[in-house]
Amino acid sequence: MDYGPRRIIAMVREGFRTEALASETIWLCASCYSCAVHCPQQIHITDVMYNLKREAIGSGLFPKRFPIPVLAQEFYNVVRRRGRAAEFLVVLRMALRTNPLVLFTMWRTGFDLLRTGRLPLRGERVRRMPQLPREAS
Amino acid sequence: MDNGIRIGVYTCHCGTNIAGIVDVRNVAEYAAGLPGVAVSREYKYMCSDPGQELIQQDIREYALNRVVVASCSPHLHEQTFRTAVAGGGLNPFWFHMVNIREHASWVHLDKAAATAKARDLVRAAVRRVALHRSLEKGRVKIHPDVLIVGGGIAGIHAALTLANAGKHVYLVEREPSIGGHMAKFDKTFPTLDCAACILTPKMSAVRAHRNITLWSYSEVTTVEGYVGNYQVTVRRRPRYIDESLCSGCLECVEACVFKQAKVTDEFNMGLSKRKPIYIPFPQAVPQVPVVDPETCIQFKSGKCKKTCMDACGERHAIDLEMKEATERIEVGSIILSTGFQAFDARRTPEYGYGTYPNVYTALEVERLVNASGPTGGEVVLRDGRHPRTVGIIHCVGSRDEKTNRWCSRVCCMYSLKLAHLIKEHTEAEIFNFYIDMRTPGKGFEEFYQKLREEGVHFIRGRVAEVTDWALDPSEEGSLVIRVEDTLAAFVRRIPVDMVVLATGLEPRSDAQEVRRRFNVSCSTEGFFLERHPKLAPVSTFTEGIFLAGACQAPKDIPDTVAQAGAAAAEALALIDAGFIETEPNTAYVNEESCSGCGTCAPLCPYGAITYSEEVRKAAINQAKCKGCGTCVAACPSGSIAQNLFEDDEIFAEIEGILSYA
Amino acid sequence: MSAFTYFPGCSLRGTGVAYDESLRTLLKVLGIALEELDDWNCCGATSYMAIDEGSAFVLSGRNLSLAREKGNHELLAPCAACYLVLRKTQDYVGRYPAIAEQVGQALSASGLPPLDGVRVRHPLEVLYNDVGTERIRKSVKRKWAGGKVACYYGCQLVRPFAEVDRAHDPTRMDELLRAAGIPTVDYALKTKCCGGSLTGTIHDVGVRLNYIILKEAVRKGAAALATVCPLCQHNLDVYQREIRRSTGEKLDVPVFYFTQLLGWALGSDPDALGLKRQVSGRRLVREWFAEREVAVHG
Repeated sequence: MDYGPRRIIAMVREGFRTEALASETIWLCASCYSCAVHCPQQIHITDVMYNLKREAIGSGLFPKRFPIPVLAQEFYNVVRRRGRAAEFLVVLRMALRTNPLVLFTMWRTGFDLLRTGRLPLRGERVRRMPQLPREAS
Repeated sequence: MDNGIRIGVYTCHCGTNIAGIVDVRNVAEYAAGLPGVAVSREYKYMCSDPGQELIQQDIREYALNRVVVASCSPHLHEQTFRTAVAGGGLNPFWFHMVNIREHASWVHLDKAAATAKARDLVRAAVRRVALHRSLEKGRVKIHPDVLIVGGGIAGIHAALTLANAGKHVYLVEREPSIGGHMAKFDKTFPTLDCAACILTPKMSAVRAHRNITLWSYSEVTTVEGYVGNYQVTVRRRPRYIDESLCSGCLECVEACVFKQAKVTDEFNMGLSKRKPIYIPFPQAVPQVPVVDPETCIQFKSGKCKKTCMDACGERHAIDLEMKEATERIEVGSIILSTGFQAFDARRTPEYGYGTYPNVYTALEVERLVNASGPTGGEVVLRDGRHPRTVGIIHCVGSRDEKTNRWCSRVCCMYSLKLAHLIKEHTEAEIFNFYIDMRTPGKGFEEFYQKLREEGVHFIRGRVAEVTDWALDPSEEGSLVIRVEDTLAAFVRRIPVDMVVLATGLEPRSDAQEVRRRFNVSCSTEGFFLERHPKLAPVSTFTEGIFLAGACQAPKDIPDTVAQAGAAAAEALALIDAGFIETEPNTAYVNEESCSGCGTCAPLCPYGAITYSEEVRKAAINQAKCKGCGTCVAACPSGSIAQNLFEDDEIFAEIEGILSYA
Repeated sequence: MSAFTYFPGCSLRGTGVAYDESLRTLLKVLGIALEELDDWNCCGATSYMAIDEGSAFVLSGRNLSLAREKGNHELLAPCAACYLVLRKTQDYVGRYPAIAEQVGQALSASGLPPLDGVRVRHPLEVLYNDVGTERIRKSVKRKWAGGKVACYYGCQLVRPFAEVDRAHDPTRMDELLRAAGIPTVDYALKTKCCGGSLTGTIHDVGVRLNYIILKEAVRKGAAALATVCPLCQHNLDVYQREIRRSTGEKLDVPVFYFTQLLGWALGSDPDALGLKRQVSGRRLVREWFAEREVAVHG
């Protein structure tokens, strides 16, 4: 985390847009909503982080080799194409785009999942794909 | 106009408050051409002495017999101008005021439209004022006795001030003893003088004062009447001990069949036990025990040996057959000093109060550090340990949209005080966690500086949580405070032995009920509403009812005492005037057309209307009527009219507004 | 008995397959019918929403709309992320006209009905409210012989709407398990974040969060954890080997779905509950379940 959420909000409020959008912090938000229920000012901080993530992607300011935005993009692409997410595909493509060496460290986890029948290599598809949003908006 | 009406119209600039938006000259020139207007002027400040003299001079020179002033709200200056008009020799009610500031210049940006609106309002007033009748103010006698509700430091101070001035005071307190929250405190900030040492002499003075009737363990149940003449009933709960016979020896408490105290002690915030017959604290006033029927064996089974009565012996002060009593009194004014309640820390579950035994509220710690408290002033935790590290969390139930939005004003300072006292008692390392330090008071900032010099830690950051989750063995058995240190800009975990929650002040849970009983208002957060936040801070919208202390807003002891003195002075001013003038804008019944239907009487919020079965007519008590107009609107036969709001006056005003020129 | 339209979500087709198996098995025992929503799509959760919020609401909107079209408006979503996004979509569509318009237009362009009128449910809350602890207590067929269980509620099920249970200190899973004769432990981290997808991206950060939760649960006496979300179960279950290696601590704790534990107590076959799919604590799993199948409750 390069700034901390409190500093991110202060930066946004004071117009330090580039710094906020290029930060890694906003991507580290795993949307657990803990801040949203604790905030004494009742600010929907999770939504603020989502907004910043989208703006960072839209403006191209997001950190390019940071795995989280890459994972989000791959997840998004898979869902755009198939209508459902396929964990195996998403993780594989993210690793290829950021740091392929990760795949070597992940093989045991993958093996565990395969062995217990928890890693289908073929993803599922929605039949009526035209009903879903497709082109990037 | 050929009916002899000669009106003077005065349009005020109010500096740039009005003239900045409304074209004042245009309004004045327009008014000069209206029927019946003999003179129309504009002036920078009509409320100034020269402005008022201008009116009086014109009354003489132009033989005016009606006056209209177009300026600010009648709330501020209606009285000023009525007096000026009377000084010019006219009936003060031959006057009408138009508000072109709050109703025009302050609420509009379009200058032309605001000016047109001002012209419309002035035209309506000119039409109306021509029809005004002469009216006389009424007079109501003021009963010299005063009722004070709530016997904390506010009520005590107000009672003594009035009693010393020779007035008779009824002081009603719900608890068995007066003293309020202050009686629970050990020291007071920032001087660290002993709370009991400064409070108990005043409590004793209340008991001894011949001008004070003290009813403890009692509550006001009904209030009727109006300023100067309130009829009040007070319910006196049975304490099962006759105050007039009890000598305060407390031998009955000693003799109770309960050898060990087993009942939760409310005064000590549940940190100790008391017996079913008890006195809340050693300096209690009155110095008379109470029997708690919920836990007394005699009340529960009827089979107690009643050793208390044996101990009382020949005095026969104990009367377990005692019944609730009702007192009825007449007073002229009332001071509400019902105080506050501390925020319930269970409403912020992230701080673990009620889950972790070593999380305390500030009031509990006040008792812990108090020499007459449950531990004799020794700071011992619920698990028997002495704390070596203590965290004090500020703003619990304050400045928080989820609970209470307001700053409770006293918590920063009492947290500093508790930090000092705990350190003095235990030599513990102390951490204060604050959002902002607020020390605006005489000697307050200096006290904060002193605490920093004493080595107390101050960490700026709102605590996220208090938890028993241990990251490594060094944290085991501790409470961990997780907080972002916003000055150091990282998240910290601080293990402590004891957590103190600086709970905020909030309105008492029955404030709404009390508000209705005394016919006063509450602000949005639920504290009693003063008539004006700056200029009438102890008055209410009900004449003769005043406010003192934390029932009006959170405040510390000096401010509470100052306000109590002010409330007493307001009551004194009323009493010493002997009477109060009442506005003549009251409703009256036209007896000839009154059909005796009785619709009006129950509608009156002030109980001013009586209905006589004998003559089958309604009558309105002019002293009680506030001129709200409810009955006027409700009367099916149109038999109720209201002075200053007669039908012809109102219709003329409406026509004036609607006839665009 | 009651019936639900079932929205399994993508994870229950992959790493969370045991959740799917155990939920179906348990509800069958309780006489609750499930009919899977035909042609359901991704709910638009977390990662998707970070790229395109409007489309995320459209995705959830389509699922809600399909459920409405189907006639059974009680939509059961076991994955906490799916549950939250479906609820959030309903909430925001009601709150923000711009979102309502975008979702409404997309649905009508696809010939789908509006999404309102659907009630999104979660198994935890259905079992607590509709079935109730009393019925669970009376339906128990097996006596628990395992260790104490720490109930882990995670984040998105209890926040931000707090409809399934209290946001700060949820207890309903504990109450259900205890009704089934399974002892639970109290600990402060039951709603702390498991790291979500961070285990797949910033791996060290994610795994550390798992470690903290597991360690504290064990410190408070837990021999196993119970979860209500496929991502929580995955994170807490599959990285324990790594945690052992990096911290040197002997951590090998089975992490179950609460439906597996309830299903076992109510007499279902361990295989039908997906109990062979555990990665960590396999020795305890064998010990607690397989060998004690004969110990029928009297």
